[in-house]
Amino acid sequence: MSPAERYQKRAAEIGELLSTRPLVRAINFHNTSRDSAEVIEKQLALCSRHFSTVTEDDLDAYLSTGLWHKPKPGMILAFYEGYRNGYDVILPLLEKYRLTGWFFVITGFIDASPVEQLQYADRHGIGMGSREYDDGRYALNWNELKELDRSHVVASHALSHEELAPMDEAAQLAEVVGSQETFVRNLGHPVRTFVSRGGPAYGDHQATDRLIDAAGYQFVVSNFRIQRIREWPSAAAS
Amino acid sequence: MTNRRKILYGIGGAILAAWALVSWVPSRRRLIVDGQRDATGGTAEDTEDADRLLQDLSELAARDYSEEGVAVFLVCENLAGMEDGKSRQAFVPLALNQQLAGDFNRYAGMLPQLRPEVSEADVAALVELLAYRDLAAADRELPP
Repeated sequence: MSPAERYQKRAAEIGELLSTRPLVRAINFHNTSRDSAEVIEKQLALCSRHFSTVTEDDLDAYLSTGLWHKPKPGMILAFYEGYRNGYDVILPLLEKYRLTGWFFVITGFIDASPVEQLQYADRHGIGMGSREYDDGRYALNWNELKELDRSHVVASHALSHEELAPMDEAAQLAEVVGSQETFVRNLGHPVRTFVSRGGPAYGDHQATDRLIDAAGYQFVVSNFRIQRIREWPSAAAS
Repeated sequence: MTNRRKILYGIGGAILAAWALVSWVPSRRRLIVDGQRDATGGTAEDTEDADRLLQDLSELAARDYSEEGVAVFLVCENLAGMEDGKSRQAFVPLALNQQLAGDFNRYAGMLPQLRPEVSEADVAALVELLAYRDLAAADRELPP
């Protein structure tokens, strides 16, 4: 299939999805340095005026019923990779505007020692346009993540920020299930949401789907979609 | 005096030659009277739309994704309990669906005519463009 044919096929698919399925807005952030704090604050202030913040429970209800239950449209504020400035710069802004952040964390980046984090970022496609920490630690640490986990969403962006499809099964297992095990070990509970680099959807690769099932994630976020894969135990029990 | 006239003739000739060249180049920017259609069936509004589409896509592509917030729309699917992997939702499409899908389909159809070397990445770019405009429109509105 030529690139133009793939474009036509994908465009037809997305056009159909946009016309028939529930939608949710999102803003994807990555490195949120202090230099960009003023611009980000304006975006968050705009979101607080015009949109409702979205939690995983909100999304669960929306996806299971198709009905949005808050007065303003939902807006997911996603912060990718697990940058330290997610805690230093973003958390105070989220609290100021009473918004929920979704922190998609690469567990290998978090677990890399501070002296290795810049190298790790360079090797794993983690953008480092802004460098603001003299001590070399650019990733969140687990204490910061525990604090974020109290009132925000901490989610898995897999182990190493590599595309899953070309990997063998053992490597995929480490990315999908291994990262979930790391969250359980450090946060004391599994996380509900998973997204891998490049954003394949659930259903695109059967081998990956089986691992997502084994890890027990409830939501899979991909380039165009957010999919609810299963009931979440606490929600099912309530 | 003769020299000055020669120079003026020269400039005039160059302008005429340039005009002749431009008028023969098939261009979306050809002047079209509002409401009238050009040879491809497009209107002035279509031309403006196409110009704006290309300009906005170009500006958005220049963003540094690792340093800027990028707005998107996500399609929600409920696959829980569905053996066949198809979404199960009691959902009645909203005005937003109609508006967004209409704009997306129009641009998705238009883009290959403007830039033949399209790829799957352009589909994502179109969704990002619509989300960007949606957020910009909210920014222009008064708070609800």
